[in-house]
Amino acid sequence: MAEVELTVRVLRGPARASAAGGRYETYTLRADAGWSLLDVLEALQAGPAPDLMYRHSCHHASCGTCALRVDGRERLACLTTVGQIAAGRLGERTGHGKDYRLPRGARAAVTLEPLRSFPVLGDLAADFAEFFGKLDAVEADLVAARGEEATHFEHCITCGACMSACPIVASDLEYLGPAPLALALRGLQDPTKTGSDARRLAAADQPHGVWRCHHVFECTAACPAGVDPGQALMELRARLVRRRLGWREGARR
Amino acid sequence: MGERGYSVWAWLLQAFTGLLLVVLVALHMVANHFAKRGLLTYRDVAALFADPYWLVLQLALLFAVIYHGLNGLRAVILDAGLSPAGARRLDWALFALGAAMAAYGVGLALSIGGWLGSR
Ligand code: HEM
Ligand code: HEM
Ligand code: SF4
Ligand code: FES
Repeated sequence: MAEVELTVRVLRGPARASAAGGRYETYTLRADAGWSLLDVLEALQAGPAPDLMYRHSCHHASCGTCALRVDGRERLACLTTVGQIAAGRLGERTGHGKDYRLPRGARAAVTLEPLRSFPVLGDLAADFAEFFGKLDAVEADLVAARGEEATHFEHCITCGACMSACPIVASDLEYLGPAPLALALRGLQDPTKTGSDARRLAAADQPHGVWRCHHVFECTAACPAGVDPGQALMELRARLVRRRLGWREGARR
Repeated sequence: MGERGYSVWAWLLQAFTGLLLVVLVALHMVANHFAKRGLLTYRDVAALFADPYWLVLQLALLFAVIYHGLNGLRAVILDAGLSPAGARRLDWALFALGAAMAAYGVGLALSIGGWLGSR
């Protein structure tokens, strides 16, 4: 694989309420085009920035801990490769397994920032406590399904990318946001009937709930797991409307 | 905002008036430019509002655009993250503004159309 001379600009800062307070530090390193951003961050930690804070666990798009903003775009660090950055292909879900045919001696620059609208624990590590609180409000945790039908209900890895991308969350931090609302719908559709549908509906149908969405669909664009929270939100609205009109649920799904 | 919010109705009516606007704005264009000879003079406008069918359509446009516009404005202002009390004050202020606009528009339409007697 080709080597890239990568200049990384990282928004660094102590714990703070928003990303506004930090300062950018710039590092340059030689990176293999096949490296993920987690490899890059590890190399920085092993070298010039031993105190760099970021979160990760699984390295394969399952745990949902490594989301951050790459050149202003919400990305999983583990799915984003150096080659992809150098080729300017951040719109693709992942750079793994692709040969971008980079020229010898390729150079690239990238800016890394923590997720928006989250309190920051330090550097690139976002604090998920409030986000998880919103997920609890819609009873997002389902008991593992025993039947065959529930397989497609587990796409969301609660990475927070959609929350960071959503401009409504950014202006109204109390807004429940895309992932919690998508998971509220998932709960309602769950054939194993785990949790309280009444609580999910009540959480969605409150002033900071599903009605605040302006259909920007940045959440759907940002989601690395194909959840399509924007569509889920519209479906949730339709359900609430049908319910209030007293129409029977079922005919449509 | 109430415990069992009325947001569900507010949104349904927003979508409904949005759809209605497609039709009514088109008819408004027809009235302005095509029907009879279009609305070239004040006399043409007065004649249009004297016609009960056009009067009803124009008033429907008036109500639809006032509701749709102000409720849309409400959605945008709520993004500032108002307190429940602030949101309630906003609702009342927009309601009062809408009522005033509707009253003025209806009064104007009726007086131009000669429905109020004297003129
Ligand atoms: C170039 C564009 C427009 C022109 C030249 C125009 C012109 C007029 C005229 C001449 C009238 C009085 C006669 C009538 O009712 O047809 C009127 C009334 C009205 N227009 Fe327009 N209009 C335009 C666009 C719009 C749009 C885009 C809307 C709303 C979406 C609108 C809403 C109304 C309403 C609600 C009334 C009735 C007012 C009342 O009841 O007192 N107009 N317009
Ligand atoms: C062709 C006619 C129109 C259609 C079909 C239409 C449709 C819609 C729909 C479906 C929404 C979103 C409702 C929701 O899901 O929250 C909306 C929002 C809105 N509309 Fe219209 N509309 C029309 C004309 C207008 C006009 C003439 C105005 C200005 C007076 C206007 C102002 C707004 C505003 C301010 C919003 C809120 C924007 C937001 O929630 O981000 N619309 N419209
Ligand atoms: S909906 Fe998508 S972007 Fe949002 S938390 Fe779940 S996986 Fe992440
Ligand atoms: S490290 Fe688990 S999703 Fe990226």
